Amino acid sequence: MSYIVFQNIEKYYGGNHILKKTNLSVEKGEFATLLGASGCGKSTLLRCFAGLEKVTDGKIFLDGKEITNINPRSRNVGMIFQQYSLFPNLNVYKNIAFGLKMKKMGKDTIHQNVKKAIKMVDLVGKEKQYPSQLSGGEQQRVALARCIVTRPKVLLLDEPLSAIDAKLRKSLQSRIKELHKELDMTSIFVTHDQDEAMTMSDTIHLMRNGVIEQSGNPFELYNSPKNSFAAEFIGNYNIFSGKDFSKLTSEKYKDKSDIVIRPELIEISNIRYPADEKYYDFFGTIKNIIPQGNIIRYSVESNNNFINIDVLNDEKDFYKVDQQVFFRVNKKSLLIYK
Amino acid sequence: MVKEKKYSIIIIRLILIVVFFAFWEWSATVKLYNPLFTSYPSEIFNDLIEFYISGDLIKHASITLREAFLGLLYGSVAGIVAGLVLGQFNALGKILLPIITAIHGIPQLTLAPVYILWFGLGIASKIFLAALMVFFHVFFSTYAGIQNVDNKLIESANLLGACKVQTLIHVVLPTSMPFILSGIRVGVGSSLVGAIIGEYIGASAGFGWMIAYASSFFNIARVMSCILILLMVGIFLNFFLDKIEEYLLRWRGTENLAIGNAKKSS
Repeated sequence: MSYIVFQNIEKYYGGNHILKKTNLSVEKGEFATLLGASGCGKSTLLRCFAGLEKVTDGKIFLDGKEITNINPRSRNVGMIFQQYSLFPNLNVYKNIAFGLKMKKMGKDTIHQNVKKAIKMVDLVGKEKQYPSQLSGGEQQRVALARCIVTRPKVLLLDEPLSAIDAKLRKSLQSRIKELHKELDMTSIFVTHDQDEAMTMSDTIHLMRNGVIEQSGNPFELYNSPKNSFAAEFIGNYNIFSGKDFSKLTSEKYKDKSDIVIRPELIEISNIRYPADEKYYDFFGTIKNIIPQGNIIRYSVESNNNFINIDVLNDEKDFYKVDQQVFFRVNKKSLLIYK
Repeated sequence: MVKEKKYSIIIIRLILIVVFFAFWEWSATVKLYNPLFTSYPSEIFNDLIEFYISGDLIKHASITLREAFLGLLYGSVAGIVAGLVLGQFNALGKILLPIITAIHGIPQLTLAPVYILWFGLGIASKIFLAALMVFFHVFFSTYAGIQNVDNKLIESANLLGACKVQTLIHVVLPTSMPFILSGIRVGVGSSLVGAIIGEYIGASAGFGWMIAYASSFFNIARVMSCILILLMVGIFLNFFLDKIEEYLLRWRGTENLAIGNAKKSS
């Protein structure tokens, strides 16, 4: 049995069916991510695990024991929220010491553990400051220290970085990942940001409408999306209906099928490619250019279809808006969903 | 810069007070109106000295202040406890809140004679009236404070191992404190009003009785002396509350600083 098991979890909020016989397993020491759009049930699933929401039906197991009906304080799980949720009346030191104090640990043990945790999250010198005196990033680090100091069996992170600016988010992402490894914790991370999920996770569980659509490591999810939803959510894929793609390629595809192409697998050139039956060749006009740092994304119009093409930014072969270009895609790289 | 501004505000305020008293004294001396109705500062000052020397000031002040203070204490404790209980148990809150609101709607002044009937002419009836007036302010603000506590804080405390009582003591009560203190601040005024009204209606001592007694003899200087002392008491109590608030809400006081320094980097 896996370390964490969600078994046929059902959750209703009034008439709303939030979780639909959801099944999920997480191994010990794994960094698992629940990825999905707002309202897909990912946070609810996490809250059910923490005991903050009661499941309507189904069972939850942790380390071989059923915890479905155990109250939150006895589950030994730590949780970090998006809004930091630090106790505003307690300074950094007391916030971090809170969990240990509640467990009635000795003063010396508390002091040693808190000091260690403060060091781990680089907040030495800020012990006496109140949350209102800290920046968002610092507050989230206090929240992280407050959690890990109690050595929870599982660390739950409910979109903890959503309210933090992009640059700081990156450094906190790696800090969380380092701590996860350092303390050999099992973590479940909830996010709607596919890049964040890719960067941090050992396993990603993609959710839609209360159901896990696909689980796998980041490579599996990106390279082999199970359906067009997974492809669209995880990788900015180009998705065509069979009907449109048939018009583009003059080959017959089923009208209702979805043809999915990764933008970085399309080759682009200002010269016509030599005929090769392994490839589909296209011709179009560049309508938009989106620089993304290391990658340039060209949006090309061809027969009233817009296709995104990602090209490595190697400072040569720049194309201009309204320039006519040739592009091709290997037939083998197409993903077809019925 | 800020300090200079603070001093100039104090100076302007003092000037206004001095000008007010000077104009009052002058207008009474030149008989712009009949000073019998308002008395005037020098007469009030002389009365205050006489009031003090005769021992009456201490006697009456101690009675009124005792009533007001005990009323404030009992009313605040009852208000906080009731607010916490009703705030914690939602169902109970839903049942009792409309009833408490309805009772609060009754002007307490109209019930003062009833309280005197219940508790007698002594200080008990005044303490009860003062406590009741304080209770409503503190209760409603405590209840609002608890409703306002961020649920995520309670969840965090719970996940960190706190039981209901620990959560109440360490999280709910301190984070509701700004609301509770603002209720007590309003309660300070109400406790004095309660004590004075009670004394007006039926008593043999206290500032309320003294004011009623002195006005029946047109001794306006004495009435003004009593009002002036009550004013001083109010100022002192508010100053005292400011200090308590400064200490208890030191975590929030820094929030303004943090907003001021919002540009600081992380």
